[in-house]
Amino acid sequence: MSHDARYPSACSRTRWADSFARLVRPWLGLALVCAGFSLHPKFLQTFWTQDYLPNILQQAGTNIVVAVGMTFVIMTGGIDLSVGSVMALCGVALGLATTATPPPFIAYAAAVPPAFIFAAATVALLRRFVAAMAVQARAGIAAAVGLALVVVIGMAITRACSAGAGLAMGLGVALSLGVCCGLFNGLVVTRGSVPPFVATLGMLTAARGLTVYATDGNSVSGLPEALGHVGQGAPLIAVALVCTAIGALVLTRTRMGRYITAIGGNEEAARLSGVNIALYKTIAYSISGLTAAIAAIVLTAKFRLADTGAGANAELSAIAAVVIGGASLSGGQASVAGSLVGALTIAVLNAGLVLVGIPDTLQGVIIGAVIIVTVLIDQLQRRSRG
Amino acid sequence: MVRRFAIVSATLAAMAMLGCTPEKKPVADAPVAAPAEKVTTAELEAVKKAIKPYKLALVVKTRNNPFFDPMIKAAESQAKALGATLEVQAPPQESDKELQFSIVENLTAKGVDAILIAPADSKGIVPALKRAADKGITVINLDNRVDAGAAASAGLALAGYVGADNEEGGRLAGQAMLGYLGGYGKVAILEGIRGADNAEARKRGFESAVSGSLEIVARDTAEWDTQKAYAKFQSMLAAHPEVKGLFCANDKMALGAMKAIEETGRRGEIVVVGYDNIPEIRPYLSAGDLKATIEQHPDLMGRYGVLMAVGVLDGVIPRGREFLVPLEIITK
Repeated sequence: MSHDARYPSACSRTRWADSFARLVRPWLGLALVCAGFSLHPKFLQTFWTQDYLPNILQQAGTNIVVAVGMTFVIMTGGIDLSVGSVMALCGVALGLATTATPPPFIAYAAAVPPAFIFAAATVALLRRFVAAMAVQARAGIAAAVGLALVVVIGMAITRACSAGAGLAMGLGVALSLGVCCGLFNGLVVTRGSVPPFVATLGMLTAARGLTVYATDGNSVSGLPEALGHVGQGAPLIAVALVCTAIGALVLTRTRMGRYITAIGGNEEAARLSGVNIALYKTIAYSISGLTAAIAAIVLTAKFRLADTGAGANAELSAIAAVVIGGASLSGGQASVAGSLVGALTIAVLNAGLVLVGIPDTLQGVIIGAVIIVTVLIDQLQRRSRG
Repeated sequence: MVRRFAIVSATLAAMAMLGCTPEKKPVADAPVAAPAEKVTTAELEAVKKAIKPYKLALVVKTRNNPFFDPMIKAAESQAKALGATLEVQAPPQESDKELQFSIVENLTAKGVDAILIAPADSKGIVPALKRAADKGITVINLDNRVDAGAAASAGLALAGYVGADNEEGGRLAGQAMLGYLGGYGKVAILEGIRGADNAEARKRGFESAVSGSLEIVARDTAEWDTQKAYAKFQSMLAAHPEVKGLFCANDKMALGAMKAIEETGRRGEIVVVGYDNIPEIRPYLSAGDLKATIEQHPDLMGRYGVLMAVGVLDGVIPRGREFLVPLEIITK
């Protein structure tokens, strides 16, 4: 039946009504949660004020960013459990590269994405200009170029960071490292045919381990004042909203986005129509790694502290946001805007339960119930439509 | 006598059935069976050398917490100084209690002379420790206490305890808060993970120090986490703008709460007292955003833990003693 919902009949009115319902449903959930809490006078007085409302966006900030990347992965029918650990790893990399010497593995891992892109570009050029070249030879050249670049860029980063490289370098290393983790996830999933759940579960454990290994479990503090501005107020909200906007545009308005959607809808059909499944899936995981790194930067900036325990369970909040936002975990159906609303719903729930004074022992129960009920309503709706 | 006992137990059973059990303290309140005899600093310092090159194993909750780093480093250097070897094992996450259990099992199977353990789960770890002790391994408890009731019913006798008195630490924090607020006002508490022995003890100590003077208007757990504390305290502050003081059961949560205070534009209006004295907190202490924190010297726990283990193995320190490291209130 969900199959039918993904491929609405030719009748354009049904399709229009369908997509409208899908668009509105998450907002309806958010409105319901807000309305429900507003029955309580304390919430009514404190929540709906100019001073308080921006707090919700700030509290949801990192989750919104992580959920953007998660939406891409879930759209392909996959899942990325590693984002929380990758956040911690990128945060620590940012801290170490800015203030101290990062261990070599961080520098070399951060060198992988640029080297990978360059090697891919080399292959593309070869394919265009040297027609009569064996596939194996091209692959060999790509591997050689890639490896050489990893070593060169890695050494350059190590040297630049030998006495604290400054903020720009730190940010670059963090972003690149995030993409590297995502790239690795993507390659293991596509080239190694490892189920996404298992591949990213491995990364979840490994990235957390590397984080602790890099710092002996200590957090990195003493980050520059300038970084602090990104983590609060308008800049934080701007980062979250810009990520959402770009994510939504890429997913709905570009060929890449349409391919990713098609892969999730029906992988075999997408393959038969010539979509490079491995490439676009890997891109989806890399985007997830990138957004995890952006979230890590924002989080590290907020407290000017890179904590090895950061991002614990962030993957679960992000998946919850995407699911509340109307996505289907079997792929082909997700929306970045929906995930934004999902993240906001979770933040309102978290805040509302404290404002209303529900004991924390019960808060988890209520949040869990809301997640289940939202998805249940979604399923029932689809069944009635299909 | 027997008959009277029968009557009493029948009454108790009836009461239990009626749902009016005699007042029972929460489990976390269960006192240590009998206050263990203390061992003095001098006695521990007298341990100068291990008779044999003992194999010691230190099992902490996780390496993923700055608290344990000084403990590990101090234990390592003390073991080296005494001529013993020390291996350190820890789960990647503090919440990974089962893994800590397996670590103890594996160490037992491998065979070490002593296990020094900071249990992630005060009760759950008991069967693993019992098996280790049965195999003749000296089990020393560090930091978070093994649950006394669970140990007693499993027949586990620990070879020693080295740690801090968390309730006393909470009391110190409470007294500091009383002083800063001049003896009255409304305060909030951000607690550690519910049910964790040290979290409950700190809260208990704080409450007992301020009860009757300060009114606790909001309490919530932020599970030791900076970001959770930030979000929670932002909401708490909105719901209770009259709050004048905040006790955080660890400094990581205080970091988050202070960010929330700063963003609300109320810097300097709320007295924040933390716990642990982590290095990241120093700038906030000197700026006055954090008024006080409690130092519980994890390095000393590591050092004296090793001394106690070697002392017990050498036979110069009797089994079953405990040592409490001094607590210190840091205000600058």
